[in-house]
Amino acid sequence: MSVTSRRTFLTGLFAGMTALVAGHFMAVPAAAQEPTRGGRISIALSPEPPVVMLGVNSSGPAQLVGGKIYDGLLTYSQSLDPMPRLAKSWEVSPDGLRYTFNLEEDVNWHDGAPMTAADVVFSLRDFLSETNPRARTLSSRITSYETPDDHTVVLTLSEPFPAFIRGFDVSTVPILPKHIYEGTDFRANPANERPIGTGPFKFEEWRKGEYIRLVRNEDYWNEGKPYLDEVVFRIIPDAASRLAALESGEIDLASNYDIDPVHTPILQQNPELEVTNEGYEFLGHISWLELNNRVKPLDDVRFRQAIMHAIDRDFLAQRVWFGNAIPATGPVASVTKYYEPDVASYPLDLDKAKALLDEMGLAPGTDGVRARLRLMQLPNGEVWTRMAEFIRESLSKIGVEVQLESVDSGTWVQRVGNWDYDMTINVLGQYADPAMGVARSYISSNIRQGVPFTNTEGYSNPKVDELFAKAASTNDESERAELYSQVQKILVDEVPVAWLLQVRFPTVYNKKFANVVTSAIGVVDNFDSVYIRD
Amino acid sequence: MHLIRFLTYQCFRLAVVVLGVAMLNFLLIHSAPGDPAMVLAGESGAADPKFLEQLRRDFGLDQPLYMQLLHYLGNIARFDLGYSYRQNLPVLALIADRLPATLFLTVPAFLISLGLGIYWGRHAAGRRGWRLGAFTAVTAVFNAAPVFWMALILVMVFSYWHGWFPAFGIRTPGATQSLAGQAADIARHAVLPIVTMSLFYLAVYARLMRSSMIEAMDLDFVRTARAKGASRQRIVRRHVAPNAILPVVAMAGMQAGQLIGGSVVIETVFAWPGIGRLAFDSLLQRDYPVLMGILLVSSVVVIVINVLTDLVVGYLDPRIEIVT
Amino acid sequence: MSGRGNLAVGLQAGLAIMVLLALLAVFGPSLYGVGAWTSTSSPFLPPLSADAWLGTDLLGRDVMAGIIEGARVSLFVGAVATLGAVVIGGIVGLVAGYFRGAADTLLMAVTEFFQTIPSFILAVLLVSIFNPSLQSIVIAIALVSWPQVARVVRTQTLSLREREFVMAARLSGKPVWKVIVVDIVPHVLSSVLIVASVIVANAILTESALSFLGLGDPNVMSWGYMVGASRSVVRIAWWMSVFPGLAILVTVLAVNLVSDGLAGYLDPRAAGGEARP
Repeated sequence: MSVTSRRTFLTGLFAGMTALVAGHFMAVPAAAQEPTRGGRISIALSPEPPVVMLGVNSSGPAQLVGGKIYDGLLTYSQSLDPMPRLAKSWEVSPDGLRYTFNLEEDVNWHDGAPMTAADVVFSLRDFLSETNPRARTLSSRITSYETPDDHTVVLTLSEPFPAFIRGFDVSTVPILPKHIYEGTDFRANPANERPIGTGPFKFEEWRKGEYIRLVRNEDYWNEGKPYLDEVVFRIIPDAASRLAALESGEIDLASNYDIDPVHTPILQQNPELEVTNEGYEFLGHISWLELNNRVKPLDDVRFRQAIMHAIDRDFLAQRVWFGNAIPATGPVASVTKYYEPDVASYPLDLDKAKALLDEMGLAPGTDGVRARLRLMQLPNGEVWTRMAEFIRESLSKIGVEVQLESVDSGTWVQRVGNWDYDMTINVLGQYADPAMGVARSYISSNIRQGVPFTNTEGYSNPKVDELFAKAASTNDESERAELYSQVQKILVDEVPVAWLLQVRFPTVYNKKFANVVTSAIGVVDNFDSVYIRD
Repeated sequence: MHLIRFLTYQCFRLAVVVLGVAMLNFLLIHSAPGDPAMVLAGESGAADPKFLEQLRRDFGLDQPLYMQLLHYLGNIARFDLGYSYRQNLPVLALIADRLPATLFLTVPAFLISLGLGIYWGRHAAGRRGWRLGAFTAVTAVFNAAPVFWMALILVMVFSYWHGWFPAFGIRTPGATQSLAGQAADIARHAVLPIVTMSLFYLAVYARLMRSSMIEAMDLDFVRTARAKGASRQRIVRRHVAPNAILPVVAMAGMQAGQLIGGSVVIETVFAWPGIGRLAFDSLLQRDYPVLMGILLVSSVVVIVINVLTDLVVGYLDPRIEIVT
Repeated sequence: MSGRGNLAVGLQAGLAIMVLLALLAVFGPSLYGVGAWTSTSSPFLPPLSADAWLGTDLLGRDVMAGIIEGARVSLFVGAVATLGAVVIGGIVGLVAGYFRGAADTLLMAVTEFFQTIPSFILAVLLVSIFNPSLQSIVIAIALVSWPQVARVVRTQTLSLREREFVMAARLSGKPVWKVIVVDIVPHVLSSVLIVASVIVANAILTESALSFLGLGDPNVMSWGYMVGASRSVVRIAWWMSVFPGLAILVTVLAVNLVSDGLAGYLDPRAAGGEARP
């Protein structure tokens, strides 16, 4: 190589390396840049909850507000792995009976008193086991509560229950202040008007019918957080108003039932807004057409399978839910643990459906009708009404005439609980683990007349009962997976209910906010890492 | 003297009717299927019988119906309308909070439709030809258009198209202004709902006024005045119009109850936080105390308006004496 | 144009529109061919589209087909609810007016109760108690409307019963029911007809309002329901709400024209005659 070319080469090399090194150094500060502190986020809240103290009210709106005032022991990643919150670490004994939670130290309540293990025990054993049925499924299995020191809690179970570790989110077990509630009437305690928690935001003001305002907890145990100054919840009961408020920037975030799915295309085209379906993995709602197994001809598995073949779930997901849902393949949602995708499938096939009905001996009458059934609408909003109408149309194509019944919530809950229906649309949450939210709909022991959200369709299969029971108390991961896989295959073959969709509600928020959805509970989470991009 | 006796009788009548209305409403509402405790409990709670039992105990729903009724009637006497299951507020406070919003719509709508209706009908009485045709056509359309549809059309034209008025709500969320600014904001939001509400009754009163004017032209003393050679305007002003107004006012009084009922639809379309919408929501959620409270309060309002109407008509019509 | 001439035109126009509507309701479905509830894959089609003259709705259903089916609902509800109101109100009014005394006081107290509660709220309450269906809506509207008939009939009966021919009938030993039916009822009919036509218009408007709010029969395509179901997208799809509402307007207009015309013929004093200074 000549001198000049070598010099050029070395210069180039040197320049390149400098650029590389300099660029590296320039990139690193950018990635490690501190999120800007300050700012406020406005969140739509509807309907206005009567009280936001999570101990006595665990409805959706209360969770949205309370999740920022209170902390749970854990939170969960979007793949449902437990992540530390008030519990900075935890251990489960090999036999699955002892759970040890090591709590963060130096945590104070919003009124200044220190948070200790005694608060945790009080919350779970004394308070929530009385007021929160979901917490009760956890606490009913605990035989002893120990607090070896102020920052350690040891819970001993009566038998192994691996789903236990997934029950400690802030909406199921919020940690509540013992020094305020011990010995009082929980529901009537005046402190409920100004909730005291350990969370990143403190309750500041509630103007009924207008807004709820939370301000930064300067003393939050997680140093440096939260970044926002304020979280404001605006109460807007009307769907059209919420949409307008989102578009005009009056509110920055809407979630869950706030937005009718029909509006998501408009919102997606809005350059300032982000529309996401993430953040509902913990809830994992599945919607199904519930078939009362006691009513003829729904008692015949072939009829139920025919129904599965007759409904176009893709149409429902795309045209009725506008992409905010995906077809369900079985009783377990794809985001819930131990989901088994390899089960029998029921593609849209009207001929197959009719063949099944012919096989059953249900020939069409002179008017083309093979069977007549009633479908009770789910009164949760217009999108559910549209679903019912579509299902009626679909079933009419195979000769099943459906008569819709329009009821209000009070009537619906009562009739479903009392088995006074032929078909209805139902939607339930799964709560991360099949033992929590799935089994309840299919096991014989949960057939309880008068109680809704149980096994109301009346399906009974001893093998399924056995599998669910065993899987709930088996410690071994792979064995659990195998058991749940088996039970899902059986259920999908027998079609106790016609699963329709996995609903993933849209969360719509202003793009300037970062870290809005970071966990499986989405916007219910505490927003301690949310900041405004500049 | 007559007046005092009349009022005393009306008060007595009011008490009796209120009692009867309370009892019958109570029975009616409680025949609706569905358990408020289950509605309140939601998905997590309703599956837990122990939780439901607790809720029912809290709201006194576990007692037999007649006991609940007696309890309720006793409370009404003390002006205690009970506690809302859903909202966790005393019913009276809740109604007091929402009633002004409804009155803010219904009272102006009532006055506008009555005033404009009388004025328009009075002048239409002398019209013929195309003017009469126009009057008839326009009033006919206002009479026939469903209120909720009219509301949507007005919103589409004046709010979405032209952007002159907000489409819904009572105020712009998040705006913090001076008192005057807030008042102006609310007024702007109220324009479309009030206009929608007025249109129907405007047509009714205008037509009634016109036909009433025509009838009054035939009255004896009017004929006498004409025979005496009085000018037309004088006759109309002094004899015809005052008499013509009577049936319109009487009719307006009777329609008071309808205005409150109509507020349900208007408040729904315009997302207006009044008692019409509250009644509807409470019914769907089986929030009995609130629903009962609203029916009670609106019945009282209707009766009071009827009494006032009788007084006004009695005052205006020299032929009627207020007697018990 | 004379006032009575106006009325005659109005009456004829109203009747013509109603006949057209009835024909539409009866023959429309088979002539038009498309079902009102069939979802297609082309939602949000604007009017004057190839396959859908008035466009399609959120689920791809044909708006015109919906309007045709809605006609049946409106006419049915209007007719049957009014019939019910007339029967109930008529009986109450006749009994109260003829027998007077305790029966009158009691029946008028009941009437007063029904008229004190705002009628629309009462209708909403009644429909919720019985599940929403065409039957419950018809019953609810009838129960809310009969007081008007009762009052009119009672007033007429009270005055009729003192007329000579009625007194003669009473004194002649005719059975009471015969006196009522043969001597009183025929003279009450014309006022009943007038108030009934007003109730028909109200019934149609009330049914559409109930359906708009979501309390209608979910198995029939009612005009009110169509407006209510597409309310959330009215900004981008005006036709889904405008056309059904227009249908309601035209129908009620027709009924009102008929009712004004009837009032003109049967009770000329109340007619919109000329002003004669």
